Amino acid sequence: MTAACPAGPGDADGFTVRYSPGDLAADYARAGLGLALTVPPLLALEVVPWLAWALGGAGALFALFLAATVRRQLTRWRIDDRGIAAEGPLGGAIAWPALDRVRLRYFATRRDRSGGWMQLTLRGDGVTLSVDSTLPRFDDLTARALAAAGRNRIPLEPVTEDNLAALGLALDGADPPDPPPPR
Amino acid sequence: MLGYLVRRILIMIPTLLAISFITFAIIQLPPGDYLTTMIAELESRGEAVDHGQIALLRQTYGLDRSFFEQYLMWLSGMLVGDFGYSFEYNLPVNDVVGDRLLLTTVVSFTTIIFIWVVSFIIGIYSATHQYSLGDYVLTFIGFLGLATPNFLLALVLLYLANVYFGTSIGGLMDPSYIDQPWSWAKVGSVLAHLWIPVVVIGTSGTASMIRRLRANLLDELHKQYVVTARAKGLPRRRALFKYPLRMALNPFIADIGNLLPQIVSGAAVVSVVMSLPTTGPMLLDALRSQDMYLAGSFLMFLAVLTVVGVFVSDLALAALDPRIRLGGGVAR
Repeated sequence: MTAACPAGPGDADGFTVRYSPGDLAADYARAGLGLALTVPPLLALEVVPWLAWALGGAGALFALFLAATVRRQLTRWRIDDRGIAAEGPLGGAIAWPALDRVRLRYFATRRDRSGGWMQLTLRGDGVTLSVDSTLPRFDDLTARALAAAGRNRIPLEPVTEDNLAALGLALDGADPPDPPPPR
Repeated sequence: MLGYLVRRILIMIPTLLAISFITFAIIQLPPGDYLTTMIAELESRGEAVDHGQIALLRQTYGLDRSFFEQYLMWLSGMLVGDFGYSFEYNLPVNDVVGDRLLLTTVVSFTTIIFIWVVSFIIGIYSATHQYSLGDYVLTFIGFLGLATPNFLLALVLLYLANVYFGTSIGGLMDPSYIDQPWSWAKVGSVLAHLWIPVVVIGTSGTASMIRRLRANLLDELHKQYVVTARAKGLPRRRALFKYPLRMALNPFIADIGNLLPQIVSGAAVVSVVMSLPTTGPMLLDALRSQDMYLAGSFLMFLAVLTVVGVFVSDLALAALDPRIRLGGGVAR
């Protein structure tokens, strides 16, 4: 698997990318570790009901995450001037003119909110696609989505604007807003 | 969000395991064990000690095993609801604890709700009416709340209730309901008694939260984007609720994790003064008498509250304010 495949014939203005093996391996390790910590106690011991629900719920989440990671491994993202397409299981495509919502969120697992990752969520044509910032050329994808949002006159949430500012991006015709103050 | 949840839960589980190990190590740190303490007490009173029986007890409760064996027994026992044996009470920990964990949880969560509701209203009023008479009065009351120790407030309320109303406000229910099975009447009695410990325990937390919310909101209200919004004609209320209040709410959410254990452990002295059937007084006794499994169970309860509280606050913060913090790196 390649991290960033060259664009195919007819895709001169676009590119095709997949999540990197290193990123996927880390997620597989997380899913495996989570299942190892939650499922064996449920199978080996007569766990008290409230704890069984908690462990079962966490185990189900890890299983879901494992499935999502498999889907991410099998998915190829094609981004060009026409739109964005996720080719793979439960995939979908959004043409840029049909884009009606753009959200950019930041997730951090540390209390000082450092060392996190961003997630770009796009909606249009009845399809919702979410892309993590670990995807190669995430900045290019975000810039294209933002340009489409500008053409479609989609209002952006303040949180999305702040996160875009952190990436040095802003809606067409607008100055990048002041980046959010350190908190 | 799924990836975020998974990462946070993966941090939680090892954290709880580490805390359980440290807790067990700490309660094992003092030399000897409960039986050693009991032997010393018997000998100091000049009473005969049956060493054969002591050895049998030590074997029965696994006190003759290695530290790690005891730890693993305790840990696996907790998973199946067996928290060990209380030597002080000669009963399983589950029977000794009874309703205390539930009542502690009820008191703690009610106190947190009290703190939030009261400080939210007063904090916003104080910030939006800075230097008004109301702000001065509420600030003064806030300082009083900060400066008054909880147990003193409890004593004052006990005295006032006794002198002016002729009633005892100690406990969390009428004495007739103690050790009785749960019924709607018992629930009603708990609710009727609940407000006094909630006010007593929550006063200082409320006062400090008011100060923080007021300061944070004032900070936000004086920023350029709010001034610009007001100058452009945005209504005052909308200019308050749309963005500044959301930013000022962060400490409310971020504090859940710290607030829960603070309230539970900080309420121990109040519980003694007001005869509350919560975990605090029993934890103190268990630590004094080296009743290791009882003390360990309470400490784990506090740890679980803390870890779950931090988890909930992190999830709420991620939903409320998913913005990047400049200076922190973004994984690429």
